[in-house]
Amino acid sequence: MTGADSHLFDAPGPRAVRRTIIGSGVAAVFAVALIVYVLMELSAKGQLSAAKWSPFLKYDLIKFLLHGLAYTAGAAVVSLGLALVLGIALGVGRLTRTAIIRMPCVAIVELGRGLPVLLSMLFLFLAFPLAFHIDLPAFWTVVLALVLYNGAVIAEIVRAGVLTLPKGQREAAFAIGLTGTQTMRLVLLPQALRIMLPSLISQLVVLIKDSALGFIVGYQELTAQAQSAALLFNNPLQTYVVVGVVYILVNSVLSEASTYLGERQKRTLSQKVVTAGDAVTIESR
Amino acid sequence: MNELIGALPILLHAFVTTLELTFLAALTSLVVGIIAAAMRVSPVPPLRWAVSVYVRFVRNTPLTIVFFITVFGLPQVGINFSFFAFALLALTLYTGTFVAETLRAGIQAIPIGQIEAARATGLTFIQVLRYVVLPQALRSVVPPLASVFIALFKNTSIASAFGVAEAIGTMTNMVNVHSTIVLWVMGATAIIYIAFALLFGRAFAWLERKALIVR
Amino acid sequence: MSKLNKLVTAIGVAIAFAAVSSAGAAEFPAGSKMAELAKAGKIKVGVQTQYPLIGMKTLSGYEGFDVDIARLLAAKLGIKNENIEFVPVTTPTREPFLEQQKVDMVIAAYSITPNREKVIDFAGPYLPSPSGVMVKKGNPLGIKSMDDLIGKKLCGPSGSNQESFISAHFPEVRKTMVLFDSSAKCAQAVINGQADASTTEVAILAALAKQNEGQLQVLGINYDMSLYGIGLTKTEDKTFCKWINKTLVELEKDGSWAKAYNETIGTVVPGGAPKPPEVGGSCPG
Repeated sequence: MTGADSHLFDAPGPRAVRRTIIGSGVAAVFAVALIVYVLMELSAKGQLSAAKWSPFLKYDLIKFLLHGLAYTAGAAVVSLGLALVLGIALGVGRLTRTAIIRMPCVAIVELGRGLPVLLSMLFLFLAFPLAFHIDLPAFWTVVLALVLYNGAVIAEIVRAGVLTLPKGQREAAFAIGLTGTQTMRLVLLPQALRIMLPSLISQLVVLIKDSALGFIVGYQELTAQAQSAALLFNNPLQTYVVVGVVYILVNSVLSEASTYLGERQKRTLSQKVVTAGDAVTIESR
Repeated sequence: MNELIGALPILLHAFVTTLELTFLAALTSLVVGIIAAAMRVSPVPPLRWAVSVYVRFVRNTPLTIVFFITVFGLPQVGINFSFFAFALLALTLYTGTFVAETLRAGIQAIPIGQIEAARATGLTFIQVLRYVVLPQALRSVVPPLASVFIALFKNTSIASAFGVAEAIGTMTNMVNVHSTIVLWVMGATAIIYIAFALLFGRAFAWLERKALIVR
Repeated sequence: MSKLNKLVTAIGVAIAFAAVSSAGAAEFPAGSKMAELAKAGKIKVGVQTQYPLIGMKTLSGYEGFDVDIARLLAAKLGIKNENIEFVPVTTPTREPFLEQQKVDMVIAAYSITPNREKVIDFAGPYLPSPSGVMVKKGNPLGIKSMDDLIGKKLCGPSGSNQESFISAHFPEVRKTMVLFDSSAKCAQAVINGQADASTTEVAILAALAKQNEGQLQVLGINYDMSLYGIGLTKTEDKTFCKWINKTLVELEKDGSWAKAYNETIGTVVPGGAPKPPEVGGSCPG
């Protein structure tokens, strides 16, 4: 619990603590009962049998799924970098006063957001070779479609972040003689990105998962591999639980890492602001 | 061309299902998201933990897997609904996490002074949330929330893999039959999607202007 | 054992190799697709990934009747198994894969239809593949014909041959049909009682019934006696198409066809290998 959250309430008093403990105890009993019931039902249906779970100990299957994970990660990492660049460019572009810049940005954002990723993959797959006479490999089809969509969403996150900032920030930046671009780059954007970090992380997670839509153009990443494996071993529920846990682990690590980086950046940023303030004071002397 | 015109009514009909699913899931996931966000910032630690676990598990899992576990996992423990209701449930569970996280970002962006002032006037935690924090948070997150709901609109397509006849599934059926107009069928589907997304975008932009608070 | 000895052996192997490869290439008219493929020594074949016994992705590669046919044809071109690149195809990408020449042929449970023949060529047919109906063990609803499925939840794959056939010939059944993206999910839905029956190729139904021993039952209802063909890029010159047809007849005569059938579909569908269909497709005679 950080930031504004902790300002929402006082440290609970003895009565509140007692109520919390009793309430939590009751809830915990219910939760345990529910888990036991679910396990008993699953066991009765044979879903917990060794035959359904033991394939995951096989080296071949692990290798097969890791292969998919590598494909997922490859597409996600490349797309994320490109989508961030595109998203910030489009987000800032949408906020400029020049219509010639703003309008195309609006158009790309609306297109990217509105077109289902599955369809943009199909269109890239079908139209790209026709238009440019280049055979676009499945990997790039997946990446470009993900960049278009996620770039558009990141643009909206950036825009929302900038608009949320107090007006005084922009006015103060102008007052000390920064140009419009400098104001955006040095004052507004860093703060906006920090504020919107949770939303940005959500988007990163979306990107990792959306590479699964690449199956339509033959990109065999983790979800596609899982589907094949589930069919081979006739254990879809188990496979999806295992693969789901893999996704949760990977995404959690990434989320934590980005949150940590964001927090650290926040600290260095505030230090920099202080230093910059000092410099200004020294100069004006 | 005649082939495409003949196919259009079926496609449009499928979009009715897509829209139904979108609107219902938007409503339910907004409710789930607001409750989850409130729990996430509440003074009761187990509530915060519960939401934290829910968000971490569901948000980080591909929607296809959320769907599979909902549609085929729940019947294993004796819960059975129609495929449409299951789709609604899966979409709500999934989108709820995004609404909750977006709102949390909005709550964190609220100046601390606002909250301190509200508490200084003697409001309780629930009252602070209801009258001061959530209204502002909801306003500041209208644009990203628009993205979340437009994503939901497109995510309904996963339901086509789980027994709900929506737009993308219907498109696949048509593509299978009408080999000569594959690109046209897909183009028509894309245009309808973009048109609705634009419409939602406009609606949210209007909402954004109405909700804009100048600081 | 001397160096000379080794050298002699090496030269001998090299000569033998050259003889084999030149012999392989000499069989085909210059400039033909066969000569091109034989010279390259590799081939790209579009296949299904989730059709048990027909086209299936496994932990180490691909298997099924379609895959066997691909291997048999490749061998006749002098192409080794490891030089066949199997490319996963999906309903919306099958024709574009061929139109853009991203693959050399598509062998993917691909029924020959007049509509498809407008945009691609078909060699073959190489397999009669009737569709069937599967219900819960014991047939609790007493389904005996397609008409009994009116008002029932019949589960089938979207974008499949069955969906289009039922739409055209059993519109009343189509009204209450539920579609999933794979036959395996339909089988699961029938087991759970979420759907009343499931339909797809008889071979796939039989494979799924065998996987879920004692829970499912394939009925004697057969419909849509469609024939699978080998999809090729549409060309004026039908040499390649004719060569495939000629080779298919050879494979039928030397018993390879029946062997492939018995090792895949024949393991679950009773009655032994059927009579192969008369070849024709887009290059009859």
